[in-house]
Amino acid sequence: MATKFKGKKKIDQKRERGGKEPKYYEVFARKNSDSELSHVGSVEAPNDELAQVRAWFIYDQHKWREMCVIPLDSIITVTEEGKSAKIKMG
Amino acid sequence: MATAIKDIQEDPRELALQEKVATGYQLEDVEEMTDRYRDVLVNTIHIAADLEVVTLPTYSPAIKTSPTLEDKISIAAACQDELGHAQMMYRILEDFGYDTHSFLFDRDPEEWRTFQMLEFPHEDYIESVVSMCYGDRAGYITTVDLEENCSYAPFARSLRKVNYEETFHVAHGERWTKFFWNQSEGSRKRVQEMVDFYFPLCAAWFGMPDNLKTRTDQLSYRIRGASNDEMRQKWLSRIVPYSEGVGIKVPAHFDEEQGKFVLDYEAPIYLDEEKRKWDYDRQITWKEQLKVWKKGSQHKVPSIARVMSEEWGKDLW
Repeated sequence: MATKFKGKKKIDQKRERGGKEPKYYEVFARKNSDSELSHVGSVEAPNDELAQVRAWFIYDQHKWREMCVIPLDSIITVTEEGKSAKIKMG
Repeated sequence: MATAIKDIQEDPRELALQEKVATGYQLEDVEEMTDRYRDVLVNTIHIAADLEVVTLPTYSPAIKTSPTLEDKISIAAACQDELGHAQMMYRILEDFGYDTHSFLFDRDPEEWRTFQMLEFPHEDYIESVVSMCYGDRAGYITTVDLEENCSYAPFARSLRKVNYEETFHVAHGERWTKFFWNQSEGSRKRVQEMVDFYFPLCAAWFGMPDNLKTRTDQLSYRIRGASNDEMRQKWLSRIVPYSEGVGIKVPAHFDEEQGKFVLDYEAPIYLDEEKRKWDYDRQITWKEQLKVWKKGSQHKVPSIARVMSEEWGKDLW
């Protein structure tokens, strides 16, 4: 039985996702200048700018010294040659 | 039907994967999964994601009623943490064909997979801190078990941050529960009232007793490491000494003969949802309990509908 309720949020797919296909970014960060730049997680975003914002807000467990995002498409696999990169979450 | 289940159980690929993960092997790729592994993994993450999101409508009334600005900030921060956890779970689910936006906004609220413990909107700040102290502790025990044991490595890794943040919620809950216990007679009464309400909800968080459980794929595929009873025992071993130390009465104790913590009541018991009161002497059947869990409390649908509609209205966007 479907529940009816008012005021349901309308999703503007184009605005919030940039299109029908989601685009993924991997997030890398280091805590301080002495620590390694490590992979900390993964975000979905329609463009580079929103990827930066989402990465900063979702992975906020530290006051990172440095953080960057890399489109998943740009990662070239070495151990799994020929395959696209796998999810790198966490 | 019986033959179909038997066939799957005896499928050599399923058995091979069960043996592989039993030795500690972790999967990195969706392609490595068998159908049954995939089903039980996705189901586990799906429920975990729903449970993160329902904390928002549950906690949000306490943002308005909490006494100081710091308390408001800490509740809001906990909500932000929980939504962050959900975001990471959605990211994993998308690799299994889930669409986050429709998962979050287009699903019928009745279809959400929530647990009773998180379905009652907090009426005041004391309820929030007691819920963090006892409930987040229960949640933390399940997510730590997943981080330590889950054979799907990306999910296990993602829980490192989740558990790191959950420790803050639990510590926050323990500190303030103790504070309100000692603050005044009125606040002490409210703490006890809330513990009386939350204790059976949290003990039930871990599900049915092991000997009654029929679906064991989570353990045979090593999605989780500990059984329901083992995790419940872990929770009791933390919560009972804490409560006794503070002076709070809980319906459980350490049984010297059995060498473990035991409940003082025979679960499942009857809950008067309106009054938020358990009848510790009135046992119900597991069949009745499962029906209650499946239906959800009276708050479930309105709470989820509120997340989906966003109370601020569409102008926010």
